[in-house]
Amino acid sequence: MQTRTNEATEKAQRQTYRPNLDLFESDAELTLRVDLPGVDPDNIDIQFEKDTLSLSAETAERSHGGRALLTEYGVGDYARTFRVGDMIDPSGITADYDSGVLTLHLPKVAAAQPHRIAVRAN
Amino acid sequence: MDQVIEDLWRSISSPSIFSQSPAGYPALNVWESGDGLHVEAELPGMRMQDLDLEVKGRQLTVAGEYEQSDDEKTRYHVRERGVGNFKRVLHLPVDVDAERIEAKLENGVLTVDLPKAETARARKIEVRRVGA
Repeated sequence: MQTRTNEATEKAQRQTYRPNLDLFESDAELTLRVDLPGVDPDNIDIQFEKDTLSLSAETAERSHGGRALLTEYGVGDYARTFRVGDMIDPSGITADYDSGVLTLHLPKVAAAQPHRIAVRAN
Repeated sequence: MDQVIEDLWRSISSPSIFSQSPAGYPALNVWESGDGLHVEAELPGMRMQDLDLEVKGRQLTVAGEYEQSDDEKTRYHVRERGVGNFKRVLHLPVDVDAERIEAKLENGVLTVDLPKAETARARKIEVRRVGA
């Protein structure tokens, strides 16, 4: 356990973490929920290019002063990049941030949505 | 920076966040200053009304439950975020003033400031020069 950290060293060694997320699907869209605690929504960057979604976020400095007694997690920036396939309509993507969680709505293109096939009776 | 491009359709994951910290969930960072103890935890998605904080003597308990917002029909492809209940007990190294504890939850980060009890505060001792 590290009990004393030099602030200058801490800044130089600022880490980037892979945030935890949930991905779920409905008929109309894919929804991503990403844990981004301690972030100002203005510092979240989301890029969608072809079939790849890139997320990055800068964490605000959190300083409490004093001597560290327990350090069980590190504080740093977040980044994660993944392929979501070609079923997403990029123009319809929306994002909101609440209580440290980013929710991304990725609407499916019409061709990827299920269609009900009517069965005609003779 | 993590430049690995993941294929989410091939990842297999389960709600395992509660076992990620060997000491339990949530992971805690704790500092001590002359005036008090400062406890911090990352609890993304948690609301103050779903969180229970209790101080009893030298024990701080952080407990809560993540809201289950999605119905059973939701088709999950990846599930890494915390679900369900958690409870963590932290033993405090000094006596604290329970009446003056302050907690806030901001952007998923919980901060608890626990002022030290009068008896636990460092006092400056005047050193008198003898003789001279």
